[in-house]
Amino acid sequence: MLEGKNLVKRFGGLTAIDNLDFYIDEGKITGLIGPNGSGKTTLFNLITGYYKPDQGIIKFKGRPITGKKPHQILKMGIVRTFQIVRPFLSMTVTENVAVAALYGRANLNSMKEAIQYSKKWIEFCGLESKTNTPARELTLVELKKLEIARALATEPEVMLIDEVFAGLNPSEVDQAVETIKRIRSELGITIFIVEHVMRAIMNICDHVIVLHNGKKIAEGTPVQVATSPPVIETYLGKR
Amino acid sequence: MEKSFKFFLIVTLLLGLITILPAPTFFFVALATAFLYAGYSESWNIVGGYAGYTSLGHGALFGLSAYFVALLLQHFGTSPLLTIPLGGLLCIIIAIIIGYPTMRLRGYYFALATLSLPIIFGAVVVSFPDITLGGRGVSNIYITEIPFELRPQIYYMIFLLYMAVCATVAYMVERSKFGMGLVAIRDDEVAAEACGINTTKLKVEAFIISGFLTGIAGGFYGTYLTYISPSTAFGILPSIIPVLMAILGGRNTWLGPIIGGIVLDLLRQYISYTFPGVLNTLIFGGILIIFTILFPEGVVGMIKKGNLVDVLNKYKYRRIGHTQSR
Amino acid sequence: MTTVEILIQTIINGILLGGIYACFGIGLSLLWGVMRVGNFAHGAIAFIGTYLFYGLLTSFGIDPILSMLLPIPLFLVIGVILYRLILNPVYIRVRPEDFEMSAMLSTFGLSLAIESILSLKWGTDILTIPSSSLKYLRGTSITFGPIFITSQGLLSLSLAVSSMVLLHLFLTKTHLGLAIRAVSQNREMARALGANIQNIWLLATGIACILASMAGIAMSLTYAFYPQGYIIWNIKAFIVVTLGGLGSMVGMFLGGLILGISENLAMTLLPSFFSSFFPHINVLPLGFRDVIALLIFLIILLIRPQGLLGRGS
Repeated sequence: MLEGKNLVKRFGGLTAIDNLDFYIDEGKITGLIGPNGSGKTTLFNLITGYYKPDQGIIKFKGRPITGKKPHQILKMGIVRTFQIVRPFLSMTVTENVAVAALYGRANLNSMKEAIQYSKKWIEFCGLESKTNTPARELTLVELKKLEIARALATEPEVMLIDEVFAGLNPSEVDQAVETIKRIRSELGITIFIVEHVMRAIMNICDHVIVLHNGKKIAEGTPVQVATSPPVIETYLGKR
Repeated sequence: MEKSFKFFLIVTLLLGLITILPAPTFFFVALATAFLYAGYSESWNIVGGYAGYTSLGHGALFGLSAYFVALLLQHFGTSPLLTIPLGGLLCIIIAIIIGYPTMRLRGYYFALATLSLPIIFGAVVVSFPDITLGGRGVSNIYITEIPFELRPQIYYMIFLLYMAVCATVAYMVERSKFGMGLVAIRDDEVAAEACGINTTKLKVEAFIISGFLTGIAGGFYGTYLTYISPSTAFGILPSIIPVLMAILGGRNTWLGPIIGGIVLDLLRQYISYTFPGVLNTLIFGGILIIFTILFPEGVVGMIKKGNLVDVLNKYKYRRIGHTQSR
Repeated sequence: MTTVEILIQTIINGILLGGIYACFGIGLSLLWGVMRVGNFAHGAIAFIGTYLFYGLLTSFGIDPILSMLLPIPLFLVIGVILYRLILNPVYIRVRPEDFEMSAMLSTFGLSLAIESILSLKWGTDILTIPSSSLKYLRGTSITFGPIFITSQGLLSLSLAVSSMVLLHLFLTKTHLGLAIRAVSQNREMARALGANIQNIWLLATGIACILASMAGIAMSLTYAFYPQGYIIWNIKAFIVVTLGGLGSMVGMFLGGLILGISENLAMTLLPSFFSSFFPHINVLPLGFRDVIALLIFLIILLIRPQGLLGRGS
């Protein structure tokens, strides 16, 4: 459904993505892991149009999307969340989600409709008690929920989730895992998730890609990947 | 419709009716410029307040339109009534031409870049004195259709109308999908793109609206003063005044620039008449400092949030340990 | 003069001017780096330095070097006032995202106030430092054939360079300097490591004001001045900071040089009808060289939005 071939991205002298191929199956939850600096967020930025690859192409449902702008890619059905949350601080929770409802694929036109429509997503993420709270007053967990709700309101087919578990305690992690599973099972959205928290990855993903220095060093089911020698070497060092 | 907007329209109507009454001339004169600046500030606010792109160079468009109207009258005798709307259109074109490249700049750099625009325009004007009459300025700018004795009242009405139009535009923008998009851009442009907002398109649209209204203001201003020069048209005042008014009145609201505009302009007039020469700059500067400290969100902004009480409580926003510091 | 000689002269003049620009830039850059404050009053404070220098020299006949050094403690005080009265209150009361703008506005108000006070005391006439009061610092120009370097120009440049060198030494070799650099780079971390941010900011403001005064004095050694004249130097300071990027003394110096040299080159090379001076009307006290500077600035901003040597963020 979403694939990339021969992707290269350099920043000055640093090659962040080095001849990378990837393939995301529809309806699956695919994980992307790797040490810090291995290029995970860069890949997300490439897919969603924030960076242009120096080489290679990215295709979505068979159509090339390389070089398109973020809002265009969004309208085609790919949404992303941000590692460091990016709420619209001057707005309330509802207004935040309403922006996505207005400018996402739902393409609503009136504020009234947008606010009405947003309720559904706010509830899905468990933020009902905070609908009229200004975003600047939310806790980190609530902000992450908001980020997800806003992404959902754009009616995506594919959702790119960037390190959403960072900073959550174990029970919050479990809650988040549940929500993500529901996104796939109830809404049919394909998920591509970057994560460090192993517990979450093992729990959720059908398929995992491992990145190191911009290259793919392993791929497979969570168990396969966890036991593959290159991965062990990268995370634990050579014996 | 919001209650305060209804109230505003009614007040505007009443103010308009005053023209029939035999009020003293200075009443019309004093309020005329106040209304003009209030409307001009409102139009600035669309780009500077809602979208968050603090332009310090709107004076460039203001002066450009003023000169356009003045010169066409001077050289070809074209009536300002015709050229003022054209001036607005000209400003749209220039706003787009300048807007596209400068839009990429981050807030602070955008402010600096726009700051240089009126200076450059002023320099160009002075450099071609054959066309623009250079540093001497252009005089005798009149809308001949307006009878001389009725000038105060008529300009009062014109600017009142202008202010009402700008306020209505801002009010409608604020409530629309477009307005939400602009505020999203202001809060976080990257996130806005991620929500599907075509930031470039929205910004250009904001520039167009703001540019047109600014051009109208500039065009009329020249005919009101009957004289413009590079320093009045492209000096620092037409660029900085709408900014101050919007910020001190409240950037996030439609009412802010209106209140800020009227109050600040009346204040400015009062100060220039009461205190001699240089002293009024001192007072103005002092007021600016005090207002920025006491009313960071503008007067209207703080009233809305019910924060007037907090103004007295100095440590409300103390942010040692604030988690969202950037 | 041959073309080459004219060019060399132009470049030399550009270097002299660039040094002054750079000097204006460092104080601004310091405050911007440490506190994220775009101090619009920087130029005005520089002019306080100018006028104090002028006053000490002409009214009291004080030795020129003393006149440069004596006001320094005063500028520390000015820095304290600036911080305690304006910057800190604004920081405390304003939302983080509004801070930049509020700081800009309030310092702009301050610059208006300073400008009017200077006008009250010294009037609006254009003044210069009489070379007689410079006593032993007055020298003759150095000449290489037809090319000359004015002694005032050299004085300005030396003052500018000394300030920069001293600042650099302070920032790299002293404990306080290290603290300032830490806060500029990573406020939270520095705080976690025990730095008292408020005090660091206070110190940085004081130093920035001293640097501003040095820039003002350096400028006055070569150029004429009047109360409203600070505006264009202020803008040039911002240009230099933007060109040179942050946190880089070298970048600042280069930025200043580029600005100074390009201005002069443009003035020399462009056809003469472009270089007619404006009459000095109070709100538009500019010459065409300033327009060139702004155009260069605009072009560079558009090509490279993060400044020439800056780390874009």
